[in-house]
Amino acid sequence: MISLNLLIPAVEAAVEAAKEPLNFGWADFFFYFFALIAIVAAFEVITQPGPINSAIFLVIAFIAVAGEYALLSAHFLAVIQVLVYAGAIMVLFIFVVMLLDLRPEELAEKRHWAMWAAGFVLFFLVLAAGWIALRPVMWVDVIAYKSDKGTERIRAKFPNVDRPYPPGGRSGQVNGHPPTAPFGTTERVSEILFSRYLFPFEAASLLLLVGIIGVVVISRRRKRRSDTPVGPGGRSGHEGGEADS
Amino acid sequence: MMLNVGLYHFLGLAGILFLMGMLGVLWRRNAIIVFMSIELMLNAGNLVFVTFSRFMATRPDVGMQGHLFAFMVIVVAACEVAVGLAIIVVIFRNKKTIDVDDINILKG
Repeated sequence: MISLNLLIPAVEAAVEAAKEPLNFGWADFFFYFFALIAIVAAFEVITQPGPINSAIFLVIAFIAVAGEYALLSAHFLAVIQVLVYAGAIMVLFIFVVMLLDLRPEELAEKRHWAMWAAGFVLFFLVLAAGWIALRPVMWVDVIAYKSDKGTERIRAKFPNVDRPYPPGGRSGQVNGHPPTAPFGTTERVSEILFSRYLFPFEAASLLLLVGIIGVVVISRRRKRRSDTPVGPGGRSGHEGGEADS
Repeated sequence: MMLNVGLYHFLGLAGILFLMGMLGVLWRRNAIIVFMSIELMLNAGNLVFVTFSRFMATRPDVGMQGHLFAFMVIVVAACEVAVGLAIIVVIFRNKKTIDVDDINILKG
């Protein structure tokens, strides 16, 4: 019996080791799935000739990014992303495309010098990425991310970098604390939004109000001098001055 | 369900999306598509906020500021799109074009 007890940890370790190559789970699959969709759709957004095609691919990219939010346990933001971005903003884009009656040959025009600029920026981005990738090798040791020291450093900076769920998990229960809603849910976001971050929230509502009024003021069609006056208020005096500005 | 893909995967995805948006802004001359590219870049920034919020949170009620930042970015983006598209409509009404290379009256 004693030998069997000694064997149990070894068997468990062997079972864990056997599980290791199969650790590629559904979360990984969905990450790469959504990432592929997002990247391809973003590429199509900038290469399609017409704005309607670009808008459709932009919707696809937004929904894919919403999937990535859901993978990161940001449930509320995933829903908001679909509602606001893929819903409201996209309707606005398509509406404006419909309002503007654009000639097809004008739509596909591109800047040819831009590829040089893009290549220049890309060069520096690759340089920066390489530096970031090689920095632990140069600074700590050759297998920094695999060594205990490198893992400890990363874990100190990002406390739950190797946990499958954010703290609290699916239930939100953390030892020593009262039970709460899980990370990223609407309840969590609204608690913090309406307590500590109430002022930014109100400022955002003011910003939206200014946006609404600004859009109305900008897109109002100015009356010409020859048109009939607007009303008894005698407003038509300074509108002639705005017409040719 | 283990999340084996880690911090760097999400950051890399955000970087690629940001790069796509930046290429769109540099490359395209249609103002509406330039706007869409800007939205792509804002989305990439949001993805970085949410990623760091997920990986740096210490408790379910501590460390959710990243979600708040992303929420505010979405609000500002909605506002910006409305105002920007109104400006594009007015420019098209006056100049009959939305080619950003032809709109240069502020060039001085």
